[in-house]
Amino acid sequence: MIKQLKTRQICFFYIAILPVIKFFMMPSVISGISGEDIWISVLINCLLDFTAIFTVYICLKDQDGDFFTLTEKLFGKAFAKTVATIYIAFFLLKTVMPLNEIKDYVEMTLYITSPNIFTFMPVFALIIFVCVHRLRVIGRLADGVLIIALIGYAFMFALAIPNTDFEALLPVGAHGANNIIRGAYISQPWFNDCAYFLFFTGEYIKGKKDGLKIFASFTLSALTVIFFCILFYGTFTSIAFRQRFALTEISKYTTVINNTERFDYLPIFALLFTAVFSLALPFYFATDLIVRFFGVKRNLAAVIISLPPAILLLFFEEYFATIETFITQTASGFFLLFGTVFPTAAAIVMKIQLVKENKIEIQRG
Amino acid sequence: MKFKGVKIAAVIFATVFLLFFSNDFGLIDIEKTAIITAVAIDLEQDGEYKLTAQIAVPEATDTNTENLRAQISGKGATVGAAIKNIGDTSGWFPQLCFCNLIIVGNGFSDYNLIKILDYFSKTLRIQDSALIVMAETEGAELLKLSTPLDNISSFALQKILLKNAGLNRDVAVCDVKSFCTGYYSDAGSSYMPLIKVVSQKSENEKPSAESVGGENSGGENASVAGGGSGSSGSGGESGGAKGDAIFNADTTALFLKGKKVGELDADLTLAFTALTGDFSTSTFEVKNVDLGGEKLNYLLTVFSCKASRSLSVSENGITLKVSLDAYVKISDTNERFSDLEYLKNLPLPSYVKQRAESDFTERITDLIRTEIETGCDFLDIKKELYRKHYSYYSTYKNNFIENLNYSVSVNFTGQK
Repeated sequence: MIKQLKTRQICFFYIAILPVIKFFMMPSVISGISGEDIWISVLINCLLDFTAIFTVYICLKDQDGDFFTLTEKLFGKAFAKTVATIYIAFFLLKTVMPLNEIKDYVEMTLYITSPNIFTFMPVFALIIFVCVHRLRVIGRLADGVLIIALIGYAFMFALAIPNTDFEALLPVGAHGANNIIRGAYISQPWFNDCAYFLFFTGEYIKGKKDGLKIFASFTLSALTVIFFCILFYGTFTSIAFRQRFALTEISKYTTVINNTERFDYLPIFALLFTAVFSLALPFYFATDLIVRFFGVKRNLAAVIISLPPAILLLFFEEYFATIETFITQTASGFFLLFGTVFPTAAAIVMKIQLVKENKIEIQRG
Repeated sequence: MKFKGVKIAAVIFATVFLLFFSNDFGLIDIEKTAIITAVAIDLEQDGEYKLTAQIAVPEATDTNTENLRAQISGKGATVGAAIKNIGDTSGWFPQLCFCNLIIVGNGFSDYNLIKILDYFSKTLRIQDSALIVMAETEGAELLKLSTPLDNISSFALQKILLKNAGLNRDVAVCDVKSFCTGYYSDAGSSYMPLIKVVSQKSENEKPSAESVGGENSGGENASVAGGGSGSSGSGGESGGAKGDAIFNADTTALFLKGKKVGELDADLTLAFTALTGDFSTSTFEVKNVDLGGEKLNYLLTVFSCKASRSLSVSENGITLKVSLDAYVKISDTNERFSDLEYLKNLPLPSYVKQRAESDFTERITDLIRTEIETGCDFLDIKKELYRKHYSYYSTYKNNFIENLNYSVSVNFTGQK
């Protein structure tokens, strides 16, 4: 079986593509609840993701085929199909917030004079372009955008650090455990990155210390997000909850920017470029599941998956406040369940099942 | 062949992507765009806001640079409505992304300023790093004034707000973000420079602001002024058209819960910037030093300055310790037969040192007294209490000023 990915590409995927989608609305949403404890809420989510990825990796590292192939092999086609359907819904829901964030961002900052939903529609062409390719495209994207993303992060952080009041994060824990956990809970739609790892396990060319490399890259990705949130809160303190588009906000207070105008838009564009591919991920994996479990051709599947979010944007924009509340409040439990709890539990059960089958095979000789 | 197709597709993609994210699909006609460099907001008698925007109008000729200046006014019940009114009545789209200055008129002295400034912190149309100042007069008057410092009055104003290195740090600069951060903090305190207009001519030859600005009425709600040169003559009157007004920003207005509660004069503002900002390269005068019956004056330049504030909190109250250590040199003196030259590494005479220290101790003490009197926590005592003494926060959050004790220590050193 030809492996689609390399370990390096999985590492780059976590470092380059995943953090940037958390740089738009998420920091302001969390800071509205956790205040200066924003970083603790983010840390909790990162730890949950890390635990899930760690468990899935440890349990399934020696297997061929990804999580869904193993589910079908161990628990039957019907169960696998049900799981796939749930994950299609999971990924479709996961597209809602980032899609709206980037659309709003483009309309409100770049096309302020003539905001038009059709301006944003070309993004769907790019999403479909990504979706019609095999898993290898994710690896190639990771390779391609790494440098762009790293330049974006480096510039953004360098511009933001001088104006960050790190003492604004004090006192630690003043908002109370309840608010910190609630902040972590409502930000679930932006996390649960283990769901992507379910497609990678068993699908990469194995080498030495793969686990260490993947865990280290995930840790780096988590630290990038935590550090961004710290910079964001340290920049805006008591008005952080009102800064809906953190990405454009945090770098503009540097003296250099005051004297030379907004050259920080260069790293912002770099990160926006990366964010578009980050946005395409849930579309891609939902398409992949439809192709594999429902026998739909990839091109058609890509269109089918892109339709509901596109319809939502085109015809239901006036309901977005309600949709946002639903996604961050009600659906967060669903994200947590199938992004973290289920993969962790299922990987452990699979491992036990595989060990049992292995023993039986050994006994049979 | 396939590779060539991929390359072409990549080039097309990159081009479209660049155009898309640089708003080239959303470009508006530049001739219908008003590039706003500053706005002034005034409160009308009917409770509505009058927003005057100073715009840079691109001209085909550069023979008369005064043409670069013009004002448009709009009126509305909210700031957003007033800005919209400018566009609706003039046909120009008000482009605010180059607006670096917001002037608040004196009519807002008893008004909660957040009602107007909140718009600027929420909208993405203007950067919230734009500076905010309060005018001692109507805000629009500052924009109409002609000044010898720059063709565009708001640019002249910005020169004294954001001073270059080497000049005195005597302005308590404030931008949209810092004002709103202060307002929404637990202390609800903020500040901004209070702009005074200083005429360089003597009283009898001083022109009024109106005659210098040259406003012409335009529609019911909007007025369009013809720029500085409009009424004060064409290029031929270059000397007169330039005007004589300069701005003074060394007074600071203090705000509590958005309302003006007090002021810091020039001395206190200098002491405040010494405590909060970079005080190096600033100068200050030490006047009337008694030396053998002779009153002498000195100008001291600060070469390095270290200011610190520490708060100790106990059940007995809050103690604020302020200390300022600065290394200074005498730049000038009116002492006769003086050997005190700027370039010479001479020690700071003890009588100058003592007088400078006592002067500055008094200024800082007055600063703390002003905080106590006005209730405006511009010294961030409550913030410090919350961040570093959280266990006492609930005890003192409503009465920290009543329980405040303080001590001030100032140490100036010269060449040793």
